[in-house]
Amino acid sequence: MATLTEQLDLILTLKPNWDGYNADPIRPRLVALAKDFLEFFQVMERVTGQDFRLFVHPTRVGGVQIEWTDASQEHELEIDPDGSLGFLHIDRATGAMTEKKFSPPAEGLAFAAGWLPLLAQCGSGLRLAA
Amino acid sequence: MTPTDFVADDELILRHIPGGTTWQKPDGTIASPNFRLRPGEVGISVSRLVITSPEAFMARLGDPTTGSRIAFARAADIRALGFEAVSAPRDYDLGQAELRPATADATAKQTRKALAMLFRYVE
Repeated sequence: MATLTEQLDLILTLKPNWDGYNADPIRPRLVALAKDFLEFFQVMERVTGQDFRLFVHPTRVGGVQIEWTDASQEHELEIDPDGSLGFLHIDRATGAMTEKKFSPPAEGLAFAAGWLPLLAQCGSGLRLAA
Repeated sequence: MTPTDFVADDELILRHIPGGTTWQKPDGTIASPNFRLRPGEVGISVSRLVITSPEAFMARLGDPTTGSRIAFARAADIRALGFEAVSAPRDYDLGQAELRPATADATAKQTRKALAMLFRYVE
């Protein structure tokens, strides 16, 4: 099975109508941001020893979705072409869902692109210090 | 049965799921982005099993060599999530229909997650 990074690279090659229902091609800058998120999660997996069971999916509007799971919840993060970030959290015991959306156009992406590498570095530092 | 007939509650509704682990999760569940509306779309395109055979459906939309699959759900269960199942026949598929939000909020991630959890793969 392809690694998550390889899957994201594959997502970049999708042509318009890749799902048979007129889906949009995926925006390269969103794939780049998704890779930063994955790097952060993978650092956190190493630091905490947890397996977050990460998945990545293209979205029909040209974005990327990342999914991960922890002990109590499933999570989805949707990165949209307009720069917004949408979160869905599902309680694994009850099935209850909550969601949040952050929609500062462009600022959301810029913010995330700025702090994710820093967080990943912090995570690496924690592991080294431990 | 004609293409413009009302979609009955006991009908099975089909949706194409592209192949590969980025659309079909390894645990057998369907990824929620499959059910997202694009800007300008008023409903999620589906087909009616009573009119469209799975073979014709796959021939039009799928590519079995890449692992394309067909998922299905019952119209009544879709309606229970706040969608209308409306026939929308086309020349290329007389069984085409649309799942249009009635009381459901189609922009909500919870809505497409609920749809993704409802659909099951045709074996």
